[in-house]
Amino acid sequence: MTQLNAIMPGGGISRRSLHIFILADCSGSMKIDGRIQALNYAIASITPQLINWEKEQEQAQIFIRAVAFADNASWHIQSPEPISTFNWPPLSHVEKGLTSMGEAIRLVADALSPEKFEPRALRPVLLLITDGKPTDVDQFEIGIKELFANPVGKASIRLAIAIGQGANFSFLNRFINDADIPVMVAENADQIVVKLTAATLAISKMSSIGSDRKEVAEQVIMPEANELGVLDDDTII
Amino acid sequence: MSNISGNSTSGLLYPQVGDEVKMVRTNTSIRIESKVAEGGQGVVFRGVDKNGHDLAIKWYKKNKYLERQYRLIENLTSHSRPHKAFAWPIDIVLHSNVIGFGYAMVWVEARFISLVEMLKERLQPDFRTLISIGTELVEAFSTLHSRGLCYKDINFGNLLVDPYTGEVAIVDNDNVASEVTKQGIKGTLRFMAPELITNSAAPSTTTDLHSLSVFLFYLFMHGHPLEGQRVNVSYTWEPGQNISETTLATHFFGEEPIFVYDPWDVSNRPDYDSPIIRWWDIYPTFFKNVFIKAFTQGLKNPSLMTRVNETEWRSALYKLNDQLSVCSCGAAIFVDFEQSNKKCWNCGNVPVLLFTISTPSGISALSEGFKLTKHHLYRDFKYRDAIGVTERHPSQHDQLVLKNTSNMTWAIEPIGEERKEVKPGQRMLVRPMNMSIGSARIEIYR
Repeated sequence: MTQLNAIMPGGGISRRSLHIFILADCSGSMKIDGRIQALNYAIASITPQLINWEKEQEQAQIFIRAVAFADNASWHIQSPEPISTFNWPPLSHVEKGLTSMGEAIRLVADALSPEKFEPRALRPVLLLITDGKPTDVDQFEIGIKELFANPVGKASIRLAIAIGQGANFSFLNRFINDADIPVMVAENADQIVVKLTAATLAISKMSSIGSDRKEVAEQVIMPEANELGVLDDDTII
Repeated sequence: MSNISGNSTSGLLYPQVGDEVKMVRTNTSIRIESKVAEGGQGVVFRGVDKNGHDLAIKWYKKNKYLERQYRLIENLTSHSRPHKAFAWPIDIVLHSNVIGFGYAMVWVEARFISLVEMLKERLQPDFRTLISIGTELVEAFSTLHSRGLCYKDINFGNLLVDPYTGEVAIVDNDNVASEVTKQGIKGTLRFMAPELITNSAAPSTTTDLHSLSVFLFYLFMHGHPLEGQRVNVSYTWEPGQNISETTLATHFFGEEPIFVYDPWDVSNRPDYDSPIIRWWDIYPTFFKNVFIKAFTQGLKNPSLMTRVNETEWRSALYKLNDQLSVCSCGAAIFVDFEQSNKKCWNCGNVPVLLFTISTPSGISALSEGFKLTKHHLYRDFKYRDAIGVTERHPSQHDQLVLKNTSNMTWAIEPIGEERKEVKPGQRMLVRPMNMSIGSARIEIYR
């Protein structure tokens, strides 16, 4: 008889998947200055931010996958992990490891092939983090070609964070392939978390339908915005 | 205007924690306690005034629109808060050696969560709470519009609710404006009126009414009213077929929107796995018809007459509240007086109606939580003036009692019993009867 305890239908709304692919450099130089630890820390610290963003909006349900690359590239997280229960298994650098960035891009391009990628998903996000340049340049060329020949890859949102002075911008810009979106630069290990935080805000903004990527890049990725500390998705850009 | 774009002696872009900012009109100080959030437009802080009250301070980032924003906020602070749901700008604040400006607003307590977060929870608040959220939202918009203001950009980020009390808090009120302008915030596509998306109109009360209907649809149906099968089949990664999200959104929400339950066009029905299907079935016909109006004639031919306005929403929500009942299986259900054989969404049986109350304003389901109001007696739209409240019987839990919360004595004549009186504060057992309250005649029957 009681209305207060009456049975209600269960909640939930339909949403579309937003797949985020992290491409993480684990080459030998990533041990300098504790870069790899800083990267692990940064990914752990943006997770709550992504969880909050997922809670606040009605469209996207976030899934994470990751590829680690050094002497070769392999899946660090292969099956899509929902952000709500996501736990980042820490990466470690490979002693004197190379930078097989090309192979990493090829792995992701393959996962994005239209027959493997769900049609209802939002455009995926590719986040490349490196402190060097590809040592597998021939693979890099093939990887870029495969990525952009693929409609999902072509439609994806691509961001890159360069750590330190060793990162090569011309390769990263070819990966981003959008003149409006600059490479984010983390001068040192401390800045990795700041850049990754800004990247997360950029992801949330760019994934909102009707957003202007250039405007988001100007607000979030450009130098002035790089001074920002904790970002939140409360305001409209 | 004060010096908001001059030189900063400190070189800082924002006030720091521990700093004081001053409200310009009252010259009172607010101490900055902590940084709460940072976004594209600025930074939000929690501040405390000299009486120890919490306030939220939004400080704008330096940008080329700063002077326009200052005038806009100054204008808003000259209006009193239209409705308690708005976290309204109270006053402009300035800092002695940080350039720029901010404004102080009411602090929204932590019990408020975003509406979309609530809708995603497995356990949903009961229907009376959902109706209360809807009513409060409608009333807030109504007071805003009656003052010639409009919200312009409402989205899920702006709308917070207390899932226990059904109260609403609307934040980011710096998007409110009286001037009709296309500049500044363009709005969030999925909530924008079609004519705004296609750039054929400027933000106004009429465009706000569309956003309000989208919100109410989400609140009661758990999905977007224009996002069905037709939209979903357009999502494809086939080479050469992938159209940009913005192009798709402009098409399906702007140029050619079709309601998922358009009675004349079935092409955009909800997806087979959409939660909308279950929720839509639960509500009575009259309530679904209000949404049909909002998203058929209100979509294609926008005006204050074709869209559902706040008065229509308020009476629809009030009527919905009056049709709430409970099935013998324990599920919350709505009585549909236009569809007598309607099955319970939970057990699939046609529910046995408990009691129905007939008043000068119509028939209602008499269930726990039902409030007899002045509107029932006099049709005077005094929905909030309760003169009787239905409660569970204190000892016999399968029975209901109606408590007289008015200051009038009711005359009741239960079937097969003598005429009796129910004095103010007294409770009567709900059973078939005739009642007189003043000049109003009421009947309770099974």
